[in-house]
Amino acid sequence: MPSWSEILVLLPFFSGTSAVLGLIITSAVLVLLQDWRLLIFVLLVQYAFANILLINFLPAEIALFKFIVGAMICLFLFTSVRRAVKETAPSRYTRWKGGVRVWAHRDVLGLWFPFRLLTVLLIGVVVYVFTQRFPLQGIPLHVNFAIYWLAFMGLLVVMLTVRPLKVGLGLLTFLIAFELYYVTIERGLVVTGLLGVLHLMVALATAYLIIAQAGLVSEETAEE
Amino acid sequence: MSFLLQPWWLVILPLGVAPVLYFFRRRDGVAGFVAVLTTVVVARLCFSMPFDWSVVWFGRRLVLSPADRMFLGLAFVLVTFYFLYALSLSPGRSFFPFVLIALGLLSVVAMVESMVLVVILLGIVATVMVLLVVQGRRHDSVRGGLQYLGAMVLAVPPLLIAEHLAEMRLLSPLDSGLSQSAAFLMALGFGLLLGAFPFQSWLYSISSESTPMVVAFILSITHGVIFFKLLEQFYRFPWLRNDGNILLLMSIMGFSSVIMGGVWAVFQSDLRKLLAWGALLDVGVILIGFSSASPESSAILTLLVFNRAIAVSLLGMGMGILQKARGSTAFSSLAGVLWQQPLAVLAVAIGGLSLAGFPLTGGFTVRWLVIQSLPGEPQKWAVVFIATGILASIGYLRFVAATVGEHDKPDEQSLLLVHILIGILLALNVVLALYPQAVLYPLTQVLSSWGLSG
Repeated sequence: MPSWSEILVLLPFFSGTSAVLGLIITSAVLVLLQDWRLLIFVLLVQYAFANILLINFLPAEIALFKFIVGAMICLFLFTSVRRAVKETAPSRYTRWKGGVRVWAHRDVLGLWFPFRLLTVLLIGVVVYVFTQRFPLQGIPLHVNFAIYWLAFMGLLVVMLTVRPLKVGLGLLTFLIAFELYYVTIERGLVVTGLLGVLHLMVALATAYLIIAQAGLVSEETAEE
Repeated sequence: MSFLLQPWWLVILPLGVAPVLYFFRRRDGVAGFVAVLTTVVVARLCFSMPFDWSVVWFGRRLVLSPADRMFLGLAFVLVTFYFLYALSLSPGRSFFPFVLIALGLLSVVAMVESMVLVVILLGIVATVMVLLVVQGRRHDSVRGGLQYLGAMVLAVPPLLIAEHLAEMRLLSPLDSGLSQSAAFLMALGFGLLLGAFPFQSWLYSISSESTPMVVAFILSITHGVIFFKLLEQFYRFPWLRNDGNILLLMSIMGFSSVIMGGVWAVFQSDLRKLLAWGALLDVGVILIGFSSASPESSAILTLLVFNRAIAVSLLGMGMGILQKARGSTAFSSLAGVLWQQPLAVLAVAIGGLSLAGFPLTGGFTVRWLVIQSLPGEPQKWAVVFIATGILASIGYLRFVAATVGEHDKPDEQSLLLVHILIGILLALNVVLALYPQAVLYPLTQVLSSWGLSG
């Protein structure tokens, strides 16, 4: 198994522009897609790309810690949605073919897909203008673009939905954008650790809301 | 200093007892008794600890100033009232543990000097509050919890960046761009945290969905901590008070909140929604109060927050009783409840009218003090406060009118303890209304001793 230092040697290939490109794609996918499994997987990938960028500002061990936090968040969310989905009726768009579940078009992309796509493209223009007119000090231009893009995409996800999972993903994306900027200002261990705790707590609250919306919390209360 | 008198107990006790209470949440009586005991002990510790405690922990300074001790002591006393109330009328099975967790974290927030840590900790507290909001909700909707979570998390980045810019402003005092950006971000962040216009949607949603006591806890204790920290910022960065940018933004936000709260309160026909708009109006008054820079302003603002805590507690307790009696807080379902639960109706009426600033309530007296301390032409603000206060008061008078009518059967439920609590809060409101100097003078002394006045 390669050591941590060997992995670090490989990472520069992924850092910089490729990580920014990855973040742009993953956050756009969070806006466009609806299927919860894909969304949670995309969030995990987004954490990975964000931490590749963070390695430029933080010790690699702390960036790794942040990725582990991200992975734990995805695990919480996956477990909660899975439990909630099991307890609620299956989607009316779900189809079965020869005993195998086939994802329906609307299940994956959701309604209003063209509208969402158009909004993402328009936000791209807004982000470009922001990057040119209000560049964040001391940060390379491509990272500037990634920070603005992630922040706007996070806000867009929060605004376009009332589903706890998507709102949670939007908030976490917004926090990732903020951390990419804030790490250039404040690199103290306490602050970094507390921001990690904030990510975890947001994910836990989201998981609780997912379970509560499925009626599982009220059932527990009723049984009591 | 004796270990028993260390301020760590203000954090350790609530956070340590909370998990135990969670396991005993099915036994309301036991959980409630232990919770009351915990808050009484912690309140006693707050008032008996030596002054001027400070310690450096992980490179960050924690301070328990006399002002912090006073605030935390009062907060724990008020929560003791909430717990005693909850023994009779449960606001949800997990009310005791989640409130204790929030209180423990808010104690840390009050003690931490670094605004960066304060902001992140407030974000963490908000996630606990989401659980509290959702556990006591009336139906499967989680909109209130979601909107609250969203607003609180979105407030964290602007406040952290504002803090950074404010510190940079100290290094380059002539850079006006820094102060403008910091002022804008600070107003945005605190606006989100307090639910001021145009971020009031979470206030409306949690009032509609959660139990009244949970809403009262958020509006009194959590908002109290936020106001207190905002006040500290104003005295830490004196240019914020002189710059004009943030004062103007806060005035605009406050004015919009006051107008919005007052106008919408008239048209409501449900107490829950009336509470939300009344609270928005009150937030507006407090934000306008921040634009005052007179020597007494911090004491008057603290008095305003104190009045708010009493008013929303009265509202929460009264609404809880009415909800239990009629199963709803809609005006249409409250006919005759005045004869069935007169003290609950009185609590809601006095609490609501006090939030609206109706004459002979604590809210009126404190607003009057705020108007007198405002710079420029306070008469204009007086007109705004009186006009919007009348509108909100009409909303509460409509509620009182809706409770008059014939009732079918007398209420047999014994709520002696809750009635005593309501009686104490009503008496405090009367004291604030008739003898504000009795509270204002000691407040000024405590705040000025820690540099939070003048």
